[in-house]
Amino acid sequence: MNLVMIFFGAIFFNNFIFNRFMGICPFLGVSKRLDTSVGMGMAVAFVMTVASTLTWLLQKLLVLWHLEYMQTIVFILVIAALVQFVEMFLQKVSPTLYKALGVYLPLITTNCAILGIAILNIGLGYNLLETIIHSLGASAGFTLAMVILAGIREKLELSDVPEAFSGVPIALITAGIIAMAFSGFVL
Amino acid sequence: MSILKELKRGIFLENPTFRLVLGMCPTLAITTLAINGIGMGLATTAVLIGSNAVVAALKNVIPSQVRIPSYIVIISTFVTIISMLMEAYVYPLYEALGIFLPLIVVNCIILGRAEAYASKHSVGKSILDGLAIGLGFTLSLTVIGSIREILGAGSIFGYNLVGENVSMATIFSLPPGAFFTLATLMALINALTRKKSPGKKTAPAKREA
Amino acid sequence: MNTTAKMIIVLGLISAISAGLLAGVNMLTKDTIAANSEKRLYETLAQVIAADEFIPQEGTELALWQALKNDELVGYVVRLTGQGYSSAGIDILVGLDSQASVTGVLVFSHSETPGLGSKVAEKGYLDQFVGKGLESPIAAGEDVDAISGATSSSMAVIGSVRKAVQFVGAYAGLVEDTSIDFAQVPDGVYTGTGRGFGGDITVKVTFAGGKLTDVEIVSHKESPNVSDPAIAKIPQAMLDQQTVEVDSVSGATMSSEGIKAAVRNALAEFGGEGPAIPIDISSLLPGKYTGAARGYSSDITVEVTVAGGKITDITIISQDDSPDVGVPAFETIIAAIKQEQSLDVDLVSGATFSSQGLVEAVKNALRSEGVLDLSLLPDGNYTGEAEGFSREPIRVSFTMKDGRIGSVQVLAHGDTPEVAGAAFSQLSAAIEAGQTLDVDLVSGASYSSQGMLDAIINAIKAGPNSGTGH
Repeated sequence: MNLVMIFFGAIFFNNFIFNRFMGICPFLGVSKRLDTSVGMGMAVAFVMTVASTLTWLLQKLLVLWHLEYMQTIVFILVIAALVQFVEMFLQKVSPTLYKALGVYLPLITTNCAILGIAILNIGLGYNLLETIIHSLGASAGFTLAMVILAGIREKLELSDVPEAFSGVPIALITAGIIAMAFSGFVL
Repeated sequence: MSILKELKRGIFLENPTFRLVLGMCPTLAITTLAINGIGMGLATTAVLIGSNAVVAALKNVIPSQVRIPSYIVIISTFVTIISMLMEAYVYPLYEALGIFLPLIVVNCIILGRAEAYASKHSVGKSILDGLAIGLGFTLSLTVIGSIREILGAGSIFGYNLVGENVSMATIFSLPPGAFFTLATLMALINALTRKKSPGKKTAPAKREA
Repeated sequence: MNTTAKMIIVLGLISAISAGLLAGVNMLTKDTIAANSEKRLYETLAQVIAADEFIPQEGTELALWQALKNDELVGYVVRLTGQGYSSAGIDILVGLDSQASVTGVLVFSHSETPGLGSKVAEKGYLDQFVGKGLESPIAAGEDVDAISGATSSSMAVIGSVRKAVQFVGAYAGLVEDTSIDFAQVPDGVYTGTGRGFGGDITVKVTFAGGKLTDVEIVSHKESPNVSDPAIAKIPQAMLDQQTVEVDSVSGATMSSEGIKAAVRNALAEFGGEGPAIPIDISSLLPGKYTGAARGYSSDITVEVTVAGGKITDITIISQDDSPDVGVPAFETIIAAIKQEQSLDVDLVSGATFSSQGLVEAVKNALRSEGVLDLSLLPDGNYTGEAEGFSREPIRVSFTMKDGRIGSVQVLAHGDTPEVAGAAFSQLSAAIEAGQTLDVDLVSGASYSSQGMLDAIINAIKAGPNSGTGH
């Protein structure tokens, strides 16, 4: 499968939010405002790409040593350590970037999109380049989903939403409608 | 009496899905069928009970600086064990849950309970908490799964309700239906609890937290 | 220091215990998982073909099992993954009997939408494939149905079944997999069809100067985006590598295979042994024909002269075989062909490669277009027709006398008089002056010019003093 298909497939056909349902918690939690959505998107893109590259390489070792059953535990530890490391690194090297992305980093460890894509890349049998392209596409799709929802939620705050639906329910309804639009890419 | 109270708290007052809005990914992703909801819920419950018990037992041993990595190791150990057992003994369910089985590791409910509850309470209480929260999660997933299966595929637990040639509202099986079902249920629960006296519902939760 | 040490020890201990636990559980469950999966697999395989034992085959492109019943081979099971609506793909098992006819199809794992795409997994849908084999098109809308609203899921299943049939056909040796030697293919344009993902792919293959010079995809029903790389790359790869057997484009394997099958189909008569169409020497136009084929050490190139429906001369233009063995054999073969006026001559023993090569070279020469030599035509009046610019045929007549062509008369035509008339007289003059049909077409009237030349060829084919009655 060629790289362009993988990239755009991950953004539209298999959008991580609307089709694979990964990373819903930050999607709902951070998408109240447009600028935080973009910040979270950037942080996810960065960690996702680095993490899936590292885990892809590690998987080779696991297979070599017949330790495939350790996949989950190894992957999540790598991701947790990576997030920690990135946080410290950014703090030292680029305080501006740290200010922009830092607050989102701790949330990323438990973002299932990161672990999800690491496991998916292995399951789909991608090579290293395809893994990187897939991660970039997936994070672009994730950011796109968040930015769209945040844009709408900012407007929704000024609207008269039924009391029972205010907050998360109306965000979910909005997400559902966007998901319908996204399913149009496939059918 | 205390057990009942705990269960009530986990299933209704602090229902992880509808009240705490945690663990959304599996909630939306695998609830196309009611049986998947039960399977996912019970797998999560098992992990939750196990990790809560171990975290509570080790709460005085684990230094606070490395508690998060320790919790992650403990949780992923349980997840891997459960998924190996499921692959060996309940394969169809293992297959249906797919990637969301290893992703239980990053279900915020589990790390959340370890951090907020088990690290401060006794083993017995923590197990009870895991059971209660887990059952609440299971119940939510099963309800969502049932609604989506009935509306989307016209069946419940695989048993066909409407006959062969009836077209159902397929959208409920598709991703948008997951969002709509969850949103509507959440709004319904909001509306119901708001009608009751608001002071009463927060009181027991406060005492525990 | 104390706390750091404690941190490391605690974390290390927890990790070690959990690794030990996992290894233990893995040991406990490993065999059950493996046994379960094998049992499940064989139970599943038995659903597509009535058999009691399955032997996995190694090193095949697709997962393949031989199906045995009472220790006798009854067929095969192929497992493939089709790309449907969901990213996970549709895992399909196809059971086939020993003649590569479908005995059963099973979708054993899919993540298609319940109630919509999932319908392709239902028995009622899959039963339509039973009995389909190598001769069936297995294309949506032709002999099998797609489910409306679930086209991509249906196409994934249909394409997979078709691929399985072709795969087993090739594996069981039911489909001749002859490699085509391009040096044996005479110049010309050939068309053929092959089955791709969505249906038939038609190609036009051009040979010039003993080389493949063009592969054009005339029509296809492939999915636009998916097949694009195959359509772009496969023909070019064939030109570059001068072979049909180029690597398939990954992600567009079915389309790639379809194009290759179409080219193979177009060149089918040159695969394997000898010509599929016998060469009728008596109907050959007089002239010189050149062709080449592999001899003992390298290519043998010959020029064959035909006159009056007979091979009058065979000249070897180039060859590399040994003077002691090869050359005497050539002389024997040439004499035999001229004597018997047949290409079915006995080979010279001890020089089989040289003599076989020469015969093949002559065959290839006679299959090529050749250079018409008018001087070899017998005397007489010739008449012939061919289509020109309009629907009315162009009818010509001319006279041969002492090996020379007289002026060509156009007896009737329906082309524009002011354009065509001038062209006809210009061509006639050129032919008479040059004593050849190898003349330039008149620009602005190329259809009429070509029509006139075709009519002359047809007249020559009809022979002297015939065809006047039309």
